[in-house]
Amino acid sequence: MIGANVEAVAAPQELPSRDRGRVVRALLADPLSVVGLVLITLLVVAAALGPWIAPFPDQGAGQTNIGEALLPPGGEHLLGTDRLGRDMLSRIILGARPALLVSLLVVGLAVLIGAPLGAIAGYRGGRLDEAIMRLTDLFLAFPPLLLAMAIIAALGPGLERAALALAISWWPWYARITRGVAASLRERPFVDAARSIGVPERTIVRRHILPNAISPILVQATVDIGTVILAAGSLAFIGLGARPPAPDWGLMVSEGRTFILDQWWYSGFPGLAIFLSVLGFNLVGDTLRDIFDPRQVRR
Amino acid sequence: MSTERSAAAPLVEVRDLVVEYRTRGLHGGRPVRAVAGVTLEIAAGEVYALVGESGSGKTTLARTLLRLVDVTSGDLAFDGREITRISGEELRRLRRRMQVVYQDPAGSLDPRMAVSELVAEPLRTHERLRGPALRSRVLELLTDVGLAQQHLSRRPHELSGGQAQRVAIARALALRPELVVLDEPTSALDVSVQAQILNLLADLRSAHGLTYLLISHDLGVVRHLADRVGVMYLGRLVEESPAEPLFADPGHPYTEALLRSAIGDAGDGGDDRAATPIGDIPSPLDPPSGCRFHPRCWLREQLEHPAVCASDEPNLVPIDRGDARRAACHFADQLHPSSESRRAS
Repeated sequence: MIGANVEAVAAPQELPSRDRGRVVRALLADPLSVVGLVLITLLVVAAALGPWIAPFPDQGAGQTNIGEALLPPGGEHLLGTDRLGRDMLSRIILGARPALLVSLLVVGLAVLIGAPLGAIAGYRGGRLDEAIMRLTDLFLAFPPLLLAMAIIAALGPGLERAALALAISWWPWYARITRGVAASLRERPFVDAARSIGVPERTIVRRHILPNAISPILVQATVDIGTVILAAGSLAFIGLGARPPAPDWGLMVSEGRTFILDQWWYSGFPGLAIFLSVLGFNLVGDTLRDIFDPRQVRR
Repeated sequence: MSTERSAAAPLVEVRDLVVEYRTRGLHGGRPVRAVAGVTLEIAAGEVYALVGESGSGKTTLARTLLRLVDVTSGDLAFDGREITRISGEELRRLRRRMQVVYQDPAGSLDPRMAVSELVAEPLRTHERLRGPALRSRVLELLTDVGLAQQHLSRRPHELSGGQAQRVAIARALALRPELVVLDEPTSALDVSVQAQILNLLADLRSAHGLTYLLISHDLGVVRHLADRVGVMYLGRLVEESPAEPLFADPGHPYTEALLRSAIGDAGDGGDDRAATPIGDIPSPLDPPSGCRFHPRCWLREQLEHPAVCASDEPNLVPIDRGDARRAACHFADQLHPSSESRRAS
């Protein structure tokens, strides 16, 4: 019967998102995403408990100890010390919180700006869609870091401003993702049904389009949290992000670059922290993508 | 069945309705006429069925009436008021008076919403009901369609097809509409469930005094529910008739062919100048000249291809087979009258 066909077609469309148990199981079944989860957990623990688990919390926060400057890894200072004698391990642990907060802030802002705009564009279509999408094209025409640098040049440096600048250069991605999903959701019968009930457009976008677009947004956001840690680090490296004496990974890499040949740990360990954070979010993001969109094959 | 025609204005009036879709690319942006000039009326309290193959324009006509698709030309009126071009708040007020139940019950329910939210949605939207009042109304509606409290927290994928369709019906009834469009309401359901839903629809109709516009290609469903039937072919109404005489004695060769193919020709086997349509339905992009049905018409074959079929488009005119029957065929009177061999069942 026709009925059987219709249901067979409709079934795989059903979003698995409600099925949290299934998502968790799939994440734990893949060794790569388990590695990712472990890395993210380490980062979150460091961010949450930094001042309590760092061996030298005061030094981590910035207190200098010139007498012990540039000690190699080992002994009391597991990862060595920097040029002002501060314990690298403590600095790195305390650096986790600002890194994660900035990243969440940037991605959160980008989603908050991008997702509603994309949903409206995709749902309404026509001229408004064209206008919003050309605007995103305008933003996407610049490399994100370059755009962020230009914005900081206008606003002046600082961690909060760097976050704002990054969010401004990041939202178009979310607008595009959401637009695509919204445009396909618009054709689904349940959106039609809401229209025929007389649900106002605003409510349709808020209650029907956005909640059903959440999975691809979540996947992208996971990957982006890592990417933004890197981007914020890059801005700090060139002096446009966090300012000393804040324990910022990008800043530490930057400070250590004059010592890179003799004191490799100075730049090396903060760089490793950035690398592992990005890696963690990427691994988990990849697996999430496989779960939500099985058509994309992992390379 | 309330087949009495009151002298009052019909609930729905459709006049010379034309609906065109613009296509892109391949066809060079030529418009497709999904509905090509249809005039019909639906009286309050009746069940009007539109039948026809897919591509005949029946769903487009209903969606246009619901103002989900824009009118190209012609007029629509609901309860005596012009609704062809209303918009905004006026259109939203109209929406609560006409509701729709879709073919694919699971697809017409938001997969992320629980049944309670789904049924509450129309009430929140139009009646601003909140809290306990909303809850009790939702429960009342669910009871009306044969569901119970334990279904409140289910999500669409946790419901069977029949249950999902009951939820969709509860949503449609929530605002106490006057007209309900039933777009293939049972064709996505298991056969065993179809009858239950049809009975439910019949019960609700008499309980709430509803008017139905039923769209279906399933003639069994139409026979079960309809008072009057309009047969559509390639965007035109080719026959319109009260249901009983139409099934007993079709007034258009296409209707005859539809009935034959539905019954499957199994019964008598007798007259095998097979009254089935020849070949597939032509593309509405390029409808045949004259009578749209002529390239597939078995009656034209029997009459040895009269020229008028391919040159002049027949109008929907009264035929002399009883009251209120109209057909668009040049040779409607040559369709053999009902013989004893047909449709004994």
